[in-house]
Amino acid sequence: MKLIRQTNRNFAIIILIVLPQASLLLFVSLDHFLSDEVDEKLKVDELRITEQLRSNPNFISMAPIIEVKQLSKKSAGKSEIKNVFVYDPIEKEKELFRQLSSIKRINGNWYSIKVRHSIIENKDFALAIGLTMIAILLLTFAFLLLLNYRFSKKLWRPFYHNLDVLKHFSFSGKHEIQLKDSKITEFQDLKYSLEKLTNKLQSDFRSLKEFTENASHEIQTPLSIISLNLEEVLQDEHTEENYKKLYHCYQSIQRLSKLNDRLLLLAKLDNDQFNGLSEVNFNRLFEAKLEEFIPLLNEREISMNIHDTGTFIHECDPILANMLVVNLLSNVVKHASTNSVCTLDIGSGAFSLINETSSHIKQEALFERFKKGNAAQSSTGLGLSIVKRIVEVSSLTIQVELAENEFKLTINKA
Amino acid sequence: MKLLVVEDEKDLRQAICDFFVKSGEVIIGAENIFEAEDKLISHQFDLVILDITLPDGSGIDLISTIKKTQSNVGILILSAKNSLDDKIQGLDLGADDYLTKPFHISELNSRVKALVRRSIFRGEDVIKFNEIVINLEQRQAYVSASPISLTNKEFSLLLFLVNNKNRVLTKDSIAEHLWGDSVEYLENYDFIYTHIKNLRKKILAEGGQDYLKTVHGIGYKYCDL
Repeated sequence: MKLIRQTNRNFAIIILIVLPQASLLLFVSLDHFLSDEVDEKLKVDELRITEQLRSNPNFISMAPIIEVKQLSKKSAGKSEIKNVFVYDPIEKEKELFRQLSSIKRINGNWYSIKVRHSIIENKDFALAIGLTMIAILLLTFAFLLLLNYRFSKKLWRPFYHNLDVLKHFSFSGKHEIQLKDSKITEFQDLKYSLEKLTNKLQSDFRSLKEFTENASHEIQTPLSIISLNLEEVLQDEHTEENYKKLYHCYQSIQRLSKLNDRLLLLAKLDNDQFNGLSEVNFNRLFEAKLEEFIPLLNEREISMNIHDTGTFIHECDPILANMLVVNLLSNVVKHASTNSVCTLDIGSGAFSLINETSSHIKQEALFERFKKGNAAQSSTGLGLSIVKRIVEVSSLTIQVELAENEFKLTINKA
Repeated sequence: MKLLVVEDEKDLRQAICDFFVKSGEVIIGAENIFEAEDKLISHQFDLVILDITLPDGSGIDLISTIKKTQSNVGILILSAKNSLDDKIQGLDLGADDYLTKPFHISELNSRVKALVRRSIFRGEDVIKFNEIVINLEQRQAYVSASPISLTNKEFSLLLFLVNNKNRVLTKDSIAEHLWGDSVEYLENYDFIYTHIKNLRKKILAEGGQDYLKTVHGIGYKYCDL
């Protein structure tokens, strides 16, 4: 949920809680205040009637507002104020009145005086005032909410813009990040910090990339020199024993340079340095690579069985896709049992390679760097780690099933 | 042919120079861009072997100077592995080929010959080794005058052997030349034996001599009997 919406929602919830309580309070206090006014008025009315009765004993009642009765004998009674239902001949129904009843002695005669005031009107009045107030409050709040939303949106605009820029930020990008200025100190601080951070990230990434390239160069150059000179030495005549020794050196150099290559490749994969995305058709890629690999497979009497049930097209770096396929097929050449069948199952969502194998490696150790299926082999033990990293950076998933002498490797779209 | 090798690593430059001097070519070395520019102004070369990482800049920057000063020249870039940006940029700017370090000298030799041939003979060329004749344009090999039907790999193999005649070629260099990246993850190159065997058989069947010698289990050599 967006921050603005969340704050507005909180605001609205507070209003919804406070507003009924405020209205209730308003209504109760209005009601109370009006009742007090009514009681006051009744007392004044009574006083006026008493004054009137002193000069004019035959005071006319006006039911239901004023009722004056002359009593034949003295009767005790206190003046009291209460709510009563009285029939109103004008409205022609029983209505609620506030009534002050008292018994007074005037000029030697006893009178019962009752003055009333309709409180229905008061309630209506209180209600009207209350409702108006609520309406005003509601309007005010709604207006404030809207205004707040508008202002916040304007206020947060640089923030959201910068957030968007940040989302599309790439370590490997060549350009520095361009963030918008804001009048808000916090946003401005954030902007400066982000710019500092991203620039540092980019420069670190660049120097890391340069380092891997330089390291590659620095290691490959001496390896090249050794290799070239060894090749030259191999041209001369040597004893059988020396030939073997020289060739062992030569092979070790080849292995060392492959190892160096692969470690650098893994470093580059870890640094996300492959991002030339394009659509790769794996059916076609397998087809092309198999053309190269069929003689190699035939050499080991492995026959290839292709099960094509759909076209596997995936958006990834073509160089990595190529490496992946070469690596998987090399694995088959290296580890499949001689005189066996390898099956390539390829569909639109996944492809798998199934082959017989006699090499034993624990499933957990399969993708670990420098774990070899066959310790005697001069392999670098990095092949499947590379496969795994390629799969990970290409948003694919890999699954391996190891059964009795059978190796099944499946690659799915993530 | 006249070559210029621009490589800052002295030993590597020396090894390359020694190899080409031995095979009778004229080769001049330069250790940095400054020296290379100097050589480029005063000489005409058939081919420049150019390292990317040089002490006074990138070899890529030298390409435009080469194009300006040389009339008919091939450019072969040498670089550390996996530096794909360099490769694309170099080829875009007019380099003709790209070789990654470390490389086999026989591979470099093969590429250099192909490039020089392309610029001198414009593809119209034929390589001869005694009775073996290789027509590059037709991609066809002959024993005397009778054509041999070779597979693509066998043709490349024969060309590689003849280009590097009288040299011991290791199994590794042959496999990498023929299969390139595909054999990167393989450690055993015995599979090339089948191709060697078939090539030998086909040449013998057309009445050719068997010039292919096996060298102590490490590789092969194509040489006069």
